[in-house]
Amino acid sequence: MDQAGIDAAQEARRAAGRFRQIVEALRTEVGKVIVGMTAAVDDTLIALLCSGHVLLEGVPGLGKTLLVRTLSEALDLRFSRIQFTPDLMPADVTGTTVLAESAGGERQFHFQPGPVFANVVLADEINRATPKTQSALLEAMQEHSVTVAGTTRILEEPFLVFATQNPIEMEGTYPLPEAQLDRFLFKIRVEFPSLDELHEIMNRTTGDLSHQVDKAATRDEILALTNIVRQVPIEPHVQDFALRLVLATHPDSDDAPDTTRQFVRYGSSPRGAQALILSSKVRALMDERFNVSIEDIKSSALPALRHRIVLNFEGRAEGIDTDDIVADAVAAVERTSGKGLPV
Amino acid sequence: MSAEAAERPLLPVELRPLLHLLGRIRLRVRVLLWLRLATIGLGGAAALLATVLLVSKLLAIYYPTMALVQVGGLVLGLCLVLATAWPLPDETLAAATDRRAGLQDRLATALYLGRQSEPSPMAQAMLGDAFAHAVLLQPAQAFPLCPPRGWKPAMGALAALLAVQLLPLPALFLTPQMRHEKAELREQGRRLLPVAARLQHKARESKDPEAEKAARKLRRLAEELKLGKLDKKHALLKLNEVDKELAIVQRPDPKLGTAQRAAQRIAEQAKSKVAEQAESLADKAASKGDPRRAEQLRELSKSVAKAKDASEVEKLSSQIRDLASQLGEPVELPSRLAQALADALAGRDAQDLQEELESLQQALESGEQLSEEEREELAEQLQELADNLSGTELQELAEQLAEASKCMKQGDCEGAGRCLGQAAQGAGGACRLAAVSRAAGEAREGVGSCSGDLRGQSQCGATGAGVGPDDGSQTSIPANAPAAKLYAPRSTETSGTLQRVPAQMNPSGGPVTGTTTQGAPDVGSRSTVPYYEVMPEYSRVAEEALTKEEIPPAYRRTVREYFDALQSGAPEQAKAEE
Repeated sequence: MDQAGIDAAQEARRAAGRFRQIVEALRTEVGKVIVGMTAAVDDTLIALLCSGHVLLEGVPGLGKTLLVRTLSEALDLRFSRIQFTPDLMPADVTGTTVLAESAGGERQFHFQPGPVFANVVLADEINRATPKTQSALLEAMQEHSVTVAGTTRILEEPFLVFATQNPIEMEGTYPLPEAQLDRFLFKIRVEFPSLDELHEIMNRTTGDLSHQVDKAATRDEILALTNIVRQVPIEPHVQDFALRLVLATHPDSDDAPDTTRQFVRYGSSPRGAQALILSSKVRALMDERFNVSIEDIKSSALPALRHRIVLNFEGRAEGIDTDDIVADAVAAVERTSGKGLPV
Repeated sequence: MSAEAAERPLLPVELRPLLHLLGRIRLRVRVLLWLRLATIGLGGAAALLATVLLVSKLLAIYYPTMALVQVGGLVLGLCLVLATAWPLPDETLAAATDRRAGLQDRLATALYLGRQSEPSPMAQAMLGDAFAHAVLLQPAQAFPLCPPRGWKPAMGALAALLAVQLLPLPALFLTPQMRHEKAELREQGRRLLPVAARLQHKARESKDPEAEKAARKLRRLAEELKLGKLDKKHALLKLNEVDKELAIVQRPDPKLGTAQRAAQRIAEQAKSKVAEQAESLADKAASKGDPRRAEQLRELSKSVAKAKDASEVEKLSSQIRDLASQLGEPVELPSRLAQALADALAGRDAQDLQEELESLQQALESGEQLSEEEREELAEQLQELADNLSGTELQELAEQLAEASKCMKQGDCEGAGRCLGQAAQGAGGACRLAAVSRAAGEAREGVGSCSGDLRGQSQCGATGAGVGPDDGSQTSIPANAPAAKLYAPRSTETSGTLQRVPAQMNPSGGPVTGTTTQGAPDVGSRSTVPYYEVMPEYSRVAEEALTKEEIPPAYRRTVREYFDALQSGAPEQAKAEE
């Protein structure tokens, strides 16, 4: 390796070191408020560093909203929150043009930006809004732009939507359409805390202690980190594993396990594969590695694929969980994965 | 890819430590692969062979034991070839090592990136990271030497094979005929055991390694028979092997006569001398008008002629001496020396001969005065013994005795004593060797009897004296023996060429021209008895006949060639019969 190569490698190592420092700082700041939820916090950070949107699902009171708010406090970014309700209108999200009178008495239509014009948008209880309102987010999530009254406005990067939803209270809710679900990088399930975590939560929330969350990363730093992530190399057989895993969620695929064939109507889209590989790159850097491993792919499989699988009638009738479908697909791909030795 | 980048020989150099590590891993993987393949191969072969052997045992089909070892060796060899030729590309090895050593796909990714012409800075950092891990990695960490997967079933199959090979079949699997056969084999084993023990005892005494080896083999065979570990075919084959070894022990030099024959001659001479003396005394008693003593002496003479051993002769001799003294007639019976020698040669009391010779030596060396007549008589006796032993294995003893006789005739009693001393020293060992030879002969008789019984049982379906030359009593195949019909129900075809052999003169004086054939019988010929059962025996009988000169000289070569040709065709014939 020549000197230029050595210098470049050193620079890459420094960037990776800086990446880990910022991630660690963010973890620390979030940890000041959030107790436990390690996997959920890590997955949220991964989505942040992938510039991906997150759908947080969990019963009320587990701290989903608090997690997003704390994370936004730790980031030096613009934050806005939208409480989704049935009467929420698309204009309430995207903004609208209003007739304004200037000092000279001249009347003009003036665009009033909605809450979506922020870096971090918390869409709380997103499934309570009507599909019409929900769809107001589609363009913003995918194109990072908003079109109102024929005018398209580009959103500032990074643009992240952190949506929450309650899986049990289904009355008066509007399940998210598949197209919108597919736009979320991760669907994170927030689990109930353990006894020790509950003790800690009680100590923090019922006492007089208050934690000040400091800014751990600026907008530029976050953008730089997202660029570093994309430089992480992936070996062809690891990528092959990820793609075969995505194919294994399709019932008509050769690699599909029996559960997929029986209970799945549609499998993951190519966005699922993108989510798998990109999030695996972040995991590799967080694990002080410069390459993606199959273990990273397996770790990202559940949050990246669980919301992209559409069950058929039999699957729904049987109450099949898409997590089981993904787990079976992982096991099937591992079994059929080549490169094995007979020793 | 630009031309400049393509020319840059950057990364293959850096990949060298990684490729070196993969080379070491490859070697280790091949060893493990061989172990795994060998486990599968041996396990499978053992299971298959155990089944085949079990069926063979149940159907009493012959199989060579060495074939099992050969199959095992062949399987191991094939596995070695397969493990050596198994494709193990670098990518596969790197991925497997990553998985086993928990390297999170570092080696595989480094290998991939290292072969790219223009790696990014992140890729270069990755390569550094991978090399740092590769340096610390030992192949044994990823591929430890441990029992391969599936070793337990393979061991189980091998154990089953050994059990089928070594353990006798449980009675449950045997037909009544097979049970009967087993019982007969056990009986033969019980019969052979004392014979083997005797031979072993004699072999130990004589310190003859060949005899000890043959005795051990015979004893082992007897024990295996007794425990029912062998079937009839194996027993016959092993009996034949042991018989060959015993034949070597029994006849160390076929040019010499046997000491046993000499012993018989000495004993016969002594007996006839005593009987003659008794007859002569009876005549004298009759002439003196003492018919009662004359009758007693004639009875004693007859008893001496029928006596089985020297001790019996000695007893009868003392009775004759008593009657002779009562008649007042002098009598000259054979010396005790001759009888002791006969006894020793017969294997009963070598010590006695030694003591006798030593006492005679001491008497002569101590200066005991002997009359002229006594010296001559002793010299004659010694010469007579020497003559009897001349030409046997005890040639040395015969020479010493002849020397002593010569000294005695010249009046040199001390010289005779020295010769007798030397004879005494050699007599024990020589007699022991003769005893071993005789014990081997007895063992051969036992083995032959055993073989004969087994074959007889196979033909007649019942135990009894076997047919053929080795039933212990016959030395050649009688023309009208039932074996002729059983072994050759019709004339055997041959693939050999016809040959005319000039033979000896016939009784009327004219020349006889014999016609014979050469070569093994045709494969298509039918026989009711398996080839391997009869061939060794026929061959041995032919050899004996050649030795005993029962075959005319002109035929000997032809007969030997005939059996040599049969021997060379034996494996094909045996296969065809099976």
